[in-house]
Order: sequence, then C-alpha cells, then structure tokens
Amino acid sequence: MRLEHWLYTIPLRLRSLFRRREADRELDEELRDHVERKTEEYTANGLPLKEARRQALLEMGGVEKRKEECRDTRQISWIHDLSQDLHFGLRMLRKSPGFASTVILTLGLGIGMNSAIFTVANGFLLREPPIKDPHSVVMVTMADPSNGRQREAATSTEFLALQRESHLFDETAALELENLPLTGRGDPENVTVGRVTPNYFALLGVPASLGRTFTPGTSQTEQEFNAVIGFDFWKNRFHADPGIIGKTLTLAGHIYTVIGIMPEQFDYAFVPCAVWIPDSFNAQPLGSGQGENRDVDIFGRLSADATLRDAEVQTNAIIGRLGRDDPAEKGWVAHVMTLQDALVKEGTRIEIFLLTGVVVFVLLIACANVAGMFLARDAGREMEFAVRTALGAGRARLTRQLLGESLLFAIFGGALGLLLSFWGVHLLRARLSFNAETARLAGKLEVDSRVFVFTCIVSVLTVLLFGVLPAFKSSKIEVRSTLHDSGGARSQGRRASRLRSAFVVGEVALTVILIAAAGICVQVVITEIRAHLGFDPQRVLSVNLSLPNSKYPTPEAQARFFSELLRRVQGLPGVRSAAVTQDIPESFPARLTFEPTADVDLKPELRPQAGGYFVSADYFRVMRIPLLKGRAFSDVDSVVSLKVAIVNECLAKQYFPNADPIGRSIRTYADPSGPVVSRRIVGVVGNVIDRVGERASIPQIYVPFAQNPMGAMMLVLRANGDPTTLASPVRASVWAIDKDQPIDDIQKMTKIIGEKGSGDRLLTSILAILASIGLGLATIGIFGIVSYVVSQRTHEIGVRMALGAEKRDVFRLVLGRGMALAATGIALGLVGSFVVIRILASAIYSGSWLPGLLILAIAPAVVVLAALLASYLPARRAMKIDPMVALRHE
Amino acid sequence: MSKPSDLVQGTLDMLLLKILALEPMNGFAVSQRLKQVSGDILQVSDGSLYPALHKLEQEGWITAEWKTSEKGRRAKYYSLTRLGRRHLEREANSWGRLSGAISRVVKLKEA
Repeated sequence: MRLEHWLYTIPLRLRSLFRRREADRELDEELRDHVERKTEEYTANGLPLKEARRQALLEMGGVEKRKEECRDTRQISWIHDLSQDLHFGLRMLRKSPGFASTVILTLGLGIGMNSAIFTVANGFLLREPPIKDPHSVVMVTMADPSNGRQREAATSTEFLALQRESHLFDETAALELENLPLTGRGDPENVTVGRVTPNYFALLGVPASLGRTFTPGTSQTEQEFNAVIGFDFWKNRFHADPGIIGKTLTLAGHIYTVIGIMPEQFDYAFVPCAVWIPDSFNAQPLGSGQGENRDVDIFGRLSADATLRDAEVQTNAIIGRLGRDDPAEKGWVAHVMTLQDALVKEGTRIEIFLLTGVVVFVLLIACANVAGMFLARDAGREMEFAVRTALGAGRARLTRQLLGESLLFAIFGGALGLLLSFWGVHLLRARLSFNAETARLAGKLEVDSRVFVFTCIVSVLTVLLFGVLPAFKSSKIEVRSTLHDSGGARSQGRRASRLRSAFVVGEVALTVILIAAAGICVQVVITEIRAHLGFDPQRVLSVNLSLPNSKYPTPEAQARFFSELLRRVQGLPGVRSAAVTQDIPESFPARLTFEPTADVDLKPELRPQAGGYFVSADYFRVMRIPLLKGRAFSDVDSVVSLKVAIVNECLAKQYFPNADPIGRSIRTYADPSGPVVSRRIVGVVGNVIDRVGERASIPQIYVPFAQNPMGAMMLVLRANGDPTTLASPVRASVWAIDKDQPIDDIQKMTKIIGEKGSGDRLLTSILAILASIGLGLATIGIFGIVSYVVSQRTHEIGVRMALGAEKRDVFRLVLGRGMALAATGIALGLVGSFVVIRILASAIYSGSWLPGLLILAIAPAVVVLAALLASYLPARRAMKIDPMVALRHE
Repeated sequence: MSKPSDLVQGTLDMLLLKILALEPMNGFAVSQRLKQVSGDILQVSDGSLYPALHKLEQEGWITAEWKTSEKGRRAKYYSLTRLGRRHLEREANSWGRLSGAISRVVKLKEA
C-alpha cells in the first residue's frame, strides 16, 4: 500500500520541484476558471456582470493567498523556500560587503588557523614513530618503586622469559646499546651500536631502504656477523655510497658484513644507531654477584585481541615468577606502554593541554566577535522584521529566512577556514623542517579532522544562534512600536545595545587573559627553564671521547690520557679553561647513592640518591657554576690523597641544614651493593638543572675525576670566541697523544642544550602566534562595534555638530566609547588573568607567580593599544560627518 | 443563502472523495454537486475547496487531468484513484460508527 502511495505522489513531487512554473500556471488557471464559472452562475441568476464578478472574487478570498495555500500543500515547498532564502541571503551579503567579509574572515581565521596550529603542535608533540602500525607496538619498561627507580631498562633474563612465556605478544624483540670503536675505514670512531634480536626490524615493520635487514628465525650463527647501518651514518661516513653493501666493517676487532641500510626516518624517534648487529641475548653468566646489567629495551607487538592492560598483567606474572627464584629480581614491576607513549617526553601532556586551552580561547574570541557583529546588525533590522511580521510572515517563516542567511555565512566561513587550515599546515610544514626528524614529522602532517570539525561546529552554531535571534525578538507589541517610530534606527532596544557591549567587553577580557596566559608560558619556557640551567652553555665546546678498554685497561692509564689531553688543550690559543666530565647537566646523569655520615648506616633501600658528576678540577670554571663555599677540586686531590667531594646547594640545605657541610663526610656508593667510599666535603656549588623541564632541584655530588677515573668522558672547554673554531686543534691534540683514538660528537654546548629544548621553542612560538591571532580578532571586534555605533549615531552626531560641537569633541566622543568598552573588558580580564595565572603556576612551574604580575601589566597595555587603534578609524570617520547630511539621515 | 455548517477537515476530505467517486469532475462542479445532494446544508467555501483538493491530490487519493470541455474551455478534472477509493471506504466506515454512536447517545430517553 505504501508503495502505491509513493508511485502516485513521487511524480507529483518531482513535477512541483522541477516544473514549478508550469504547475503554478495551472494553479492560476484553475482558480481563475472557478471564478469565471461562479461569475457565470451569478449572472445567470440575474446579477449584473460587475456585481457577479465581485461576489465571486469575494467568495474565493484573496487569489494570491489561495494560491499560496495550495502551494503549501505541496510537500516539497520547504526546498523551494530554502533556496529562495539562500538567494535572498546572497543579496543581503552583497549589500553589506564590509559586514560580510569581516564575519567570514573571523570565522575563517578562527576555524582555519586553530585547526592548522593544533594539527602541527599535536603532530610534533605526539610524535608518531615511523613504523608500521604504531598502535600495537609497545615497550616494556621496568620500575622498582621501593627504590624510586622508574622507566628503567630490563635484563636479558627478563627478556628471554617474556619471549618464551608470553602469548599476548605476536613478537618480542630486544635492543641493547653499546659504544664500540669502528676502525679500518678512515678515522677511527666510536659508534653507537645496537645489538638486536634478528626480528627487531621485522617487528617494527620497517624494511631497509637498500639491501635487507636480518632474517628473523634464522639461526644465530648464520648471520652472526651481518650488520645493518643507519642512514645518517651511511651518509656521513660512507658518503651515501650504495656500494657499501657487501663490504665489511670492523667493530671492536670483529669483522661484520654490511647487508642493508635503514631509511632516513628510522634514525630518529629512537636513539640514533650507526650500526645494528644481531644478538641472541642469552643470559650472561652472573659476574661478581652484582646482578645483571639492566640495559635491554624490550619491544613487543601486541596480538590483535590483546589489550595493554592484559599484556601488563601477564608480563608482571612472568616477572613475578622470575622473582621467586632470583632475589635480585624481587621488587621489579613491569609497565607496558605504547611505543609512542614511551617516546613522548614527560610534561608533553601539559603542553598539549595548554595548547588546547589556548585554541579554545581563540575560538571563543572569534565566536564572540561574530556574535557581537550579528547582534549589532540585527538591531538595525528591527524595522524590516516589523514590516514583514505586519504583512503576515509567521515566526517560523522569519526564522527560516534568517537561518538561510546564517547558513550562507557558515558555509563561506567554513570554506575559508578549510582553505586557511590547509594553507596554514602547508606553511608551517615548510618552516618546521629544520632537521630530518622534524621534516619527517612535518611531512606527515595532515589537517587534524577532529579539530577542524570541532571548531567548525562551534563556529557554525554561534552563527546560527545569533543569526536567528531577531526572529524570536519580534512580538506584536514591539512590532507596533517599531513601526510607529519614524527613525527606526534610533529605536534600538536598550537591552540589545547592552548585550552588544557585553560581548565586546567579554571579548576584550578573553583576549587579556589569553595574552597573559601565553605570556606566562613563554616566560616560563624562556626564563625559568633556560636561565636556571645553573650553568652557562655559551661558548662551550664539548667533545665525547671513549677510551677503548683494550688500550686503556686500568684507571691509571685512563687518567694519564685525560690529564695529558687537558694539559695540551689548556695550552691551545683561544681556550680559556678546559675540563673533563662524565656527564653534563640536563643529561640524566648517573645516580649516586649516598648517605651523610651523621645518619649512621641506613638500610640500602632508604639511602637517598643524588646526581653524580665525575669532573676534573676546572669543570666549574668552564661551566660557570658558582662556587658558594669552600674550594673547587685541584691538583691536591689525587688518587693517593684524601677522598673528597663537592656537593650542591640543595644537598647542603637538605642534609646539613644547620651546620657547615665543609669538613663533614659523606659516604657514596657506586651501586647499591658495591663498595662504599667515604668522602670529605670540601666545597658547595650552585644547583644545576638535572633534566629538561625539571622544576625542583635535586642533590648533586661532584667527585674529582682524578680519584675516580673512567674511560668514557666528555671534554668541555670554554672558548674566548666561537667554540667551533677550536674543533680542529682539539682533534689534533687528541691524535697527538693517540692517533687511533676515535673522537665522537664535537658540538657546541648551546646546540646540545638547544636540541633538548626544541619542543619548548615550538610551543613558545605557537603560543605567541595564537595570542596574536586572538588579539587581532579582538581588535577587529572592537573596530566593528565602534564603527557600527558611529553609523547608528550619525543622526545624533549631526545634531550635536549642528548644535555647536567641534569635530574634536565628536572624535573624543567616539574614541571614548571605544575605550570605555575596552577598559571594562580589561578590568574583567585582569581579574580573570589573575585566576588563570594562579592555576597555571601550580600546574606548570613551581616557581613563584610574581613574574606573572609583570605580564599582568603588559597584557592590558597591549590591549589598550589595540583598542585605541580600533577606535581611531571610526572616530576619524565620525569627525568627517557633514552635519547637513547626517541630519537628513534616518 | 443559509450559513454553511462548519465542517471538520477530515470530514470535508471524505465528502469530496465521495463526490468524486460518483464521477470525475472539476473543482467548481464538485462544490455545486455537494451543495445539491445535501440540500444546501453542506457547502464548502471556495477558499477551502482548492487547498483541500490539492492536498488530496498530493496524498495520492485523487488524480487530475486537464480536459477541454464541450464549450472549448480547459478545466482540471479530478478523479478518484484506487488508493483513494480504499481510503474513502475506511473513512466512511469509521464515520458510520461515529455518527451511529452519537445518534444513540442523543436518542437516550431522559428520565
């Protein structure tokens, strides 16, 4: 039955839709025909023709109205009406191009820029690793909560147990990093070598770009001496020569054949390895009761239906079983997280949260702009709506028409937003490719559809809401009063005017808060973290040197090498001071367990840990770490003299709060179960930053290199000028002592520190851009409102001028109006900023929020300037009004 | 002319359909015939007639055809469709039940 119904009606509907004019003509003919026949009937009954006709027409009622009613029964009329409304809307747009373009521009900026920036920031901060199907690849990290150790690597035993017993992973692989000397081809060099299980590359799903990788499952011995090399290494060392495949490398005395080269992106997101060689990770024989080394990274690919949680539970069960048999294993807990999460810095979540907040703010400002403009315009159209209501338009009809107009804005604004977001991403993509890693990440940037959709929806909703508002305002009483007033424009409701002003005020307040928040964050990133490095990285050069064990087996031999090197380097022209150190700040130095002798014999688990630095005498001078008490190391401190140490301010305050630490002793343990050395404290120095973004200081202990020599050290020197000019002389000095000594990584300290902060720099620039956009939008908003007010008050201004007001007075009147709005907004914004700064202070940095007060002064100043600018042009226009013209203006 | 009784829209539809069930005719003729067979009691105003007819057409109960009449005049002739016939039957039945019930109540003997 339904089907028949449709069969009849569809042709009708289609006809009404597409043959509209024909259908209308027929309708007209039908009705007129009826009137004709009626007229005939009446004339037949004796009425005169004119009278008959009049009567017939009366009985029909208004022909047009009947036609409209008939048309309404056609159930497709809404389509037609909508298209009519859209046409009308287009005409309205063309009539007021200024208004239209401002709204569309605002929408476009709000949607587009926000999407673009959020996409970029997200892509960079949430770096997706360059592997196949990254969401199912996980890393297993170990933690020992009772000893405060987090995110540690695993042992070979743990890996092998996992590999054997876990069935929630399709595959497991392991990676262990080592520094090995590469000889035989050109200069000797220490390279980072990754020992991996043969299925490592297969698990990650990354094939070699040339040649091949290891064959999983092939027995160990068959491919024991194959090697895969990394892209950067291949480019720098072998000049990208594809012929290297098949040739051999000598690593630590063993010969390996190169079988493949990894693609460029693979170097990053992981520790960049120069070479990968296969390893079976058979458990090492337990040496001197120290337990296995924890240096194995475990990767796994989850099976299709396994969840992270399941995997973690099962892994912990396996580890627990190990712990039953091996006491060294007890207390260790496994964490399973996606590889992406493992690679992401701590503190990145805060950054993303911040970014989202800023984006929302800018969006709010844009919406407030649009809403305000609509409100302003609608007030001026009250007359139009009053007339239409009087002519019989229902509220629904009016709403529909306004909806059509608003829809147009939304469509154009959305289109512009889409364009801008693509263009913005494209632009940022180009600017952000400053090294291979960022280039890869940048290359993968696509406009984040979620953000785009979200901003679109919000903007469109705003437009629609404020677009149709006037339809709801019209009621019978208002219609009458509006029609009676001759100067329609002057009779704006007080309420509407206040609402408009409220919007501008709100916008300004939001902008102030936005600028304040952005300013705080920028300041935090720049000053708090940078300046409180605790040392000065300018003009410092650092050189990594690893002495091979084979040549320098004893600490004495190592000490001899480095003291000779120091002697030579210090003699070089252009070198102010030089030192050696095992670690530099911001590099997660080794943790040194210690106890101040005052507390005798703490249990091993309770002993606190400090950052341990093994440095030579001039270290503090090179790094410009202030010496607060006592003395620095000197030649007095040697292997045979009293064992000494220097502590940092934090340790001194924490463990020797009331006494002078100089002269006291502390005991240091190289590792928890190892030998204890009692050292006398001879000096106290300033705190240095331990890791990037760290807020609180931790205790740090410096031990003289001479008393604890090691084979792998960093030579740091402070130059008089540009440190890179000293690279060659330093190399020459090294090779003068030992011509085969590999030299790694010669770099400027600023570059090392800088690279660690690249993410922060990005965030800073993004925040600055967004804040500027917000400011720009608010300025546009103020400009729009003030201009509009001027145009509305043209009549009034004419009157004032006619009554004797000077142009100057008019100027001041308009300017004053704009500034008054801004002032209210700023006041509100200041209050809001205060609150926001307090929140940020606790979330982001634990320093005082006093520096924030400076920002609180700057933000309003900026906004005031913007408001001045925005009000200036309309005020000038007001000045130029010709009173005669204005008086006639309705 | 006597004032026409108000007709509920649905009932009007039913009446129009019934008239058209007798034979196809144009709008003017429909209103004349209705007046005639009801003895001038049921009259539909011109203003309501055509919207109602058009609605019936949109629902698929009647279909229209332009014919040239004897006098050479073009007019739109409506006729009932099969769908319309079935709808008419249903409406007539329910009207019968309704009116029967009302009559019974009204005819109740007062105490």
